[in-house]
Amino acid sequence: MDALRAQIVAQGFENTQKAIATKATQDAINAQAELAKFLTPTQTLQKAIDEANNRYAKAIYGVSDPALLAKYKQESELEIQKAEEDFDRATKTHEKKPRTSNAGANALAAFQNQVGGLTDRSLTVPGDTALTKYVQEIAQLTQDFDKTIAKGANVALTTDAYWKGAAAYAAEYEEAIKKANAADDAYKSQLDDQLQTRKRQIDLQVASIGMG
Amino acid sequence: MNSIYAEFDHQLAQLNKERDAGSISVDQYNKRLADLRQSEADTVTAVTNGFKATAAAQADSMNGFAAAIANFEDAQRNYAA
Repeated sequence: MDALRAQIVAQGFENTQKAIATKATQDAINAQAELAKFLTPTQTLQKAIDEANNRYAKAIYGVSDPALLAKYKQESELEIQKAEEDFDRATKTHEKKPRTSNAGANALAAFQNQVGGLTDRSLTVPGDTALTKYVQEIAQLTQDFDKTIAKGANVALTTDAYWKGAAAYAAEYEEAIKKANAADDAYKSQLDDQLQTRKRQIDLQVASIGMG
Repeated sequence: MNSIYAEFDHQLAQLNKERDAGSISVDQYNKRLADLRQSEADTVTAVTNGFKATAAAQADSMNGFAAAIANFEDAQRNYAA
């Protein structure tokens, strides 16, 4: 079952790639990878605290002068306080000025180019309703991301939300594939039953002749 | 045999309807079409074999009947003699 699941996921991914590759640019794919590199504000805060604590531990190693110890402690506390202030700023849902000069903005610009180049027709995967739905949902999610950022929302938080949404849509698509496979299996099973019934009828007919 | 082909033609028409309505994907259509074609071929083979088995059974039955008649006639002749 795990192998089948892996196969389905791989097939779904492959289908998606095929569909998207003809419609999206490599820049957009790179932009998604760029966005994935972002740390959440919580992760950034934790990283800053860990680094401050490490620096403090190294600084006080072998130091016995109380004044020097107090100085290092104060520096470390200030560093952590600054990280916490950064966290507070980052977790505000709306900022007065949108960020325009960072990697997030570059990634966003690539997304905007991608979405801007799409048309309703290009978002249709002929003969595959489930994949079409998935591709359209992702495109819609991308547009929503774009609009949210344009309104000044925090890039890291919006990126988190984007990936959660993308994962949910991917799971939905995977579920659709599972259902389709189950329906195909049922179709095959019905054909097999039909054949077996006919074979039994033939056997009975032959046997009845033999019995006179 | 014609009824078998007609039956599978009907099933193929149903499958085409599902494809045209978009209720199944092209991949699903192709998979089901292959299954349907295979089932049709298997059914034709089963029915053909059935005809042969029926003919053989009927031949055995006729041979058995002819032998019984011959035995009966022999018995009648012996009795008369």
